[in-house]
Amino acid sequence: MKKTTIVFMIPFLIVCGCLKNPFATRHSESPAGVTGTWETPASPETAIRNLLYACNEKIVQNYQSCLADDFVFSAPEDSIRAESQGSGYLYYNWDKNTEILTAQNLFSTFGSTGYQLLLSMLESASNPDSIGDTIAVIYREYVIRIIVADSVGIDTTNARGLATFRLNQAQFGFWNIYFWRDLPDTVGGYDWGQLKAMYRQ
Amino acid sequence: MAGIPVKTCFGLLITALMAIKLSAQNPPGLNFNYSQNNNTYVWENSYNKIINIGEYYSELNLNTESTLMKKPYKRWQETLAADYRGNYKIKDWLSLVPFINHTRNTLQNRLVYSSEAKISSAYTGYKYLEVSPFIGNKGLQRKGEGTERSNWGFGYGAEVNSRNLEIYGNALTASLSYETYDIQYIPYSDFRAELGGFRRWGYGDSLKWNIYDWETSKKYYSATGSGEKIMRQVKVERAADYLARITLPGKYVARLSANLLRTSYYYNPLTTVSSISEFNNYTQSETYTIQIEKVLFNRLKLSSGYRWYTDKQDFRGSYLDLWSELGELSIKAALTIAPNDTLNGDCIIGVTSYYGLHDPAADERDMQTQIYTGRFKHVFNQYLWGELKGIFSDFHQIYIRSVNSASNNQNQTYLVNSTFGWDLFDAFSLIQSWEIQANYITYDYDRQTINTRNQIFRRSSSNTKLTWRISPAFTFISGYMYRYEDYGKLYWNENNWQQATGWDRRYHRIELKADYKLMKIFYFEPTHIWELRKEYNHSFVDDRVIRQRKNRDLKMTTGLGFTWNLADSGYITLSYNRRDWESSNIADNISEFINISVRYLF
Repeated sequence: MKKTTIVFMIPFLIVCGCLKNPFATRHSESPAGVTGTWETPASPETAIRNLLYACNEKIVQNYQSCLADDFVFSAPEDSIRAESQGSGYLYYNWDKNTEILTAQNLFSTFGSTGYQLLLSMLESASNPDSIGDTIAVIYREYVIRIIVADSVGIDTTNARGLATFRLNQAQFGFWNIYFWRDLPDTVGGYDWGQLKAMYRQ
Repeated sequence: MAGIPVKTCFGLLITALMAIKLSAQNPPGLNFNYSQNNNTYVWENSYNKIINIGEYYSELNLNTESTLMKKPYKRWQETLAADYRGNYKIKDWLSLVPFINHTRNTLQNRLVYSSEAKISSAYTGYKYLEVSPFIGNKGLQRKGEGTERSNWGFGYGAEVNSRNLEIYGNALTASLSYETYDIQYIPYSDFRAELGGFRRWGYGDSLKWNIYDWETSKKYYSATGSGEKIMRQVKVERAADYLARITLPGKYVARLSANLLRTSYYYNPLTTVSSISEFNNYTQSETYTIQIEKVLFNRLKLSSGYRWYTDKQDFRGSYLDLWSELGELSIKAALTIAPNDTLNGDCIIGVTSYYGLHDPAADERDMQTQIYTGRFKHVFNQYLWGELKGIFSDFHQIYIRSVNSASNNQNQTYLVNSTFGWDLFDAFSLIQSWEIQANYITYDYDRQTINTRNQIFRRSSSNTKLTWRISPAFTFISGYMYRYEDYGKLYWNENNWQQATGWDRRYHRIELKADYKLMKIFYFEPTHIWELRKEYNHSFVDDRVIRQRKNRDLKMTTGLGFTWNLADSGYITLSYNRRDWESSNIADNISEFINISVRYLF
């Protein structure tokens, strides 16, 4: 039994050695900035509200927590247009990892001076939400105001469209987005999918 | 416009049916799916056929998908894809492989065609090598909105793969490939080299390893910035990995693995780029794991492991430059206490740290994770069993810099669950489960008594499911679920947390379902689901808490499903669901869902 204990201590010995200690965290500086908002995603609507907060507050960790591990993003109109321009690859295999890296890129850009990104969402009158016991489909009409200010002036662009979120219940019964489909509000209009594709890494 | 996809679908179906008549040696398959709800209509069809004529083997695949969305305005989207691949064996060591592919994508009046034709020849006359040179042609055409554009060009290349290569008991695989397409404006070339090995020895010990180098160069129409411009991109990806299982003295088993990956992108430096995604950049990651396992007294299976991961992302001086490091320890145990009692437990503890690559960054943070799970199962007798489960998880997010540290928080969840299964007699079974859980989110620097973001969510539920097999042809299933949830702020008061409920809701669900096999090949499934959800808001008025109903949702869904099994050759299913939804917040709503599926093997 003594030998068993020693052998099972090997991973612990590695931990105590030169590698990363899974118990130790760093100390943080006292807060001086704005704070993030997060609600327990006990309902599909709350999960979508968390996504809205994460976008406006530009907090990648909260954004990431809204998405399921098997998350997929699809922008069918944008991807067909991109395909015809030879840049269809921008929309290929858009999974959770891609989404987080894209959000990181987007939030970093719009977190810097002169850049602003303001997202607003409304329930869609023509597409009522469908909420089941374990699966839900939420429709949101959105407007993103993209403001870029530089020495030349202030440039404001709006991205508008309809976002369809499919959610399911994950660990502890909390809701996650596993599928996100984006459509512009007019044919060929500028939408969220195009904005994200510009910041895909 | 609406007629076009329908015509195309039926055109392809007729083509597929004619192809069946013309050639029938191996069983091909035809699938047809149609579904609709109040807003969306979807048609999906596929046809697959394998045709063998003497030494000629070939495969035909046709796929179509059409979607019509009625709101907010009518949109048609169609995807059609057809490919054909053959293989003609001229000699035992030489074969000819033709390949043709064509796709058509449409969205409203936008249309994109892509096509590819390729012929390769596989030569296996060498003892250890297989060589396959090819020539081909690719084309892409865009019509509709914007500039109409066609790009096409010829290509060539070769692939060399090792065969039957074994050195000192190591099965080795090696491959080299190169292809280039001189497509007008957007040419590309691709080079790949891979080497791998596998060896097995002793009592199930093994070593598998692989290294590769992929290099791609291409030009493309950049979607970033204003106007159209052609960019040149070079991608280089190099990786190595291994996975080993080794039996150590004392019947310990060690599992070791490592993975190293570096991906670099280089862009045309002469072009002025507007997006950071077109900066020269690289990402690099390393993962190492060690896990030790041992079975003690034939009853206790123990395993302990450690994972170390690091990655680096360098955009050569941009704010995206970060590196991260993860250290994660895991312990698992499974104990068979007695033939009818099993106990399982596992825990995962880890920290992921993010750092600025060149300079301190605002996003620098640590995420500490702890997850503990315990499960005990007891089989009382052949009719009754029970299980108890408990889970605790804690995610602690710590931003290092003051600009973000106000968001530092701890997200803790406690869950206890019990499930009992009772098989009263052969035809009757009952499963009952209860669950309670609580989720606390507390912000490290938030100890306010008003406008606090600290919160608690609680839930409890009971679920009962009864299955009654009345006869071999008739099964009746019923279920009842009750769930209670509440949510509120957590106030830090007198050095302790106090809860103030903000809302609560109750949910009831009754489900009745029958599975009736009218005949061996035909069965019928009626379903009825009744759901009621009530939500209440709690508000604090004049030192009193007032609970007011916020919403009442009643949904009744009735469904009918028919399945007709066509022996081994396929099936036809039809289903219809109608949902009546009464809500105190929105107008009453009736939704209908229809689905038809046909699968036929000829």
